[in-house]
Amino acid sequence: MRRALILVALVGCTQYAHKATHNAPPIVNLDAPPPRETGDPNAFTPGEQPGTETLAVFVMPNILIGTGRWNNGKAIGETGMSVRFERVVDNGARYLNDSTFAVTVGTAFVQFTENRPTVYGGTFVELNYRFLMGVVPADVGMGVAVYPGASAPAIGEDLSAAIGGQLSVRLPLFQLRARYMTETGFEIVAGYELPIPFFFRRSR
Amino acid sequence: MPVRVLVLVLLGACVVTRPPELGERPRWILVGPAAYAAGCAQADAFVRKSGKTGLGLTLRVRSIASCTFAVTASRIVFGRRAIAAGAIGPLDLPGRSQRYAWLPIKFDNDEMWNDGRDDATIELDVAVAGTAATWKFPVHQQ
Repeated sequence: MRRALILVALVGCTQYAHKATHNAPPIVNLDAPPPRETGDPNAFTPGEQPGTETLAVFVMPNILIGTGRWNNGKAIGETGMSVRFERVVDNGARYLNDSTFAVTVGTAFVQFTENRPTVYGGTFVELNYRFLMGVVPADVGMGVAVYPGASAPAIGEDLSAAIGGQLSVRLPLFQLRARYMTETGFEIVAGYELPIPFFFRRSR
Repeated sequence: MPVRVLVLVLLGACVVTRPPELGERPRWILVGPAAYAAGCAQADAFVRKSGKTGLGLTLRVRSIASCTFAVTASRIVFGRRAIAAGAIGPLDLPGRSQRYAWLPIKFDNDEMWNDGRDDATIELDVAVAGTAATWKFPVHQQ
């Protein structure tokens, strides 16, 4: 039912899905001959479907607001993009597991606040675990973040590069992220994140 | 569960690549008729199974007089690489008779398919009434 729903609803995409031929031969049992031999030169015993390996890639643009980036008590905003990778191996019915580990990398293209120049934001890599809360997928992540150094001559200040750790929580269309950075301490942001999934499927 | 699926759909999910359906999957076929005749026996080979672990041949052996037929060794040859397969013990063929024998040719066919090695030759060392010879025929995977 779920697969049929996906196929119907994604008809535009599935029609143009490229056929992946990696590991294409089917499963076959060569230990026994066909059950009935007739001598027909064209007779053939088909194999079985070998199952599917799916790499789900989520492209996730986001807009976040929060505080703590510069310890000035003012709100900050940032917009960026994350890419998340999940792997599913099964008999071909599932596109996603109900719970699974994943890896996410991301960066903020701009980070801005009042009375400071806009700078490039942090870049991170996270290990995530997604699970279901009822029917709602939730995700927790932990990883490492890096801020590049930046020159801010307008306010006579150079921003040092910094490294730190981060924790994140994601619900559909929502992200909450906390960081502790070596130069600036704690920061927290939350906001809108749009996960756009792409499925790369091939034979096991 | 449909709720989650609908959420994905609304977000613009896209299937970029898909595995083949069963009918789209490759299989080994004979390039031409694989017939053999020597002495008191005539034989034909048919590919009956094909998949990840190799292919399976049915040998149909007919005698024109009382005869024995055996496959003492077999192999599939990809260029310079030969992969040994099994043997078939002597088949007794009294008078004008017909028998079928099953010969699995086992190898890592995922490896061959992924490497694009889709042409091979099957070589059977046969003994017809004790006389040895080699029966060769080409196969192709498509």
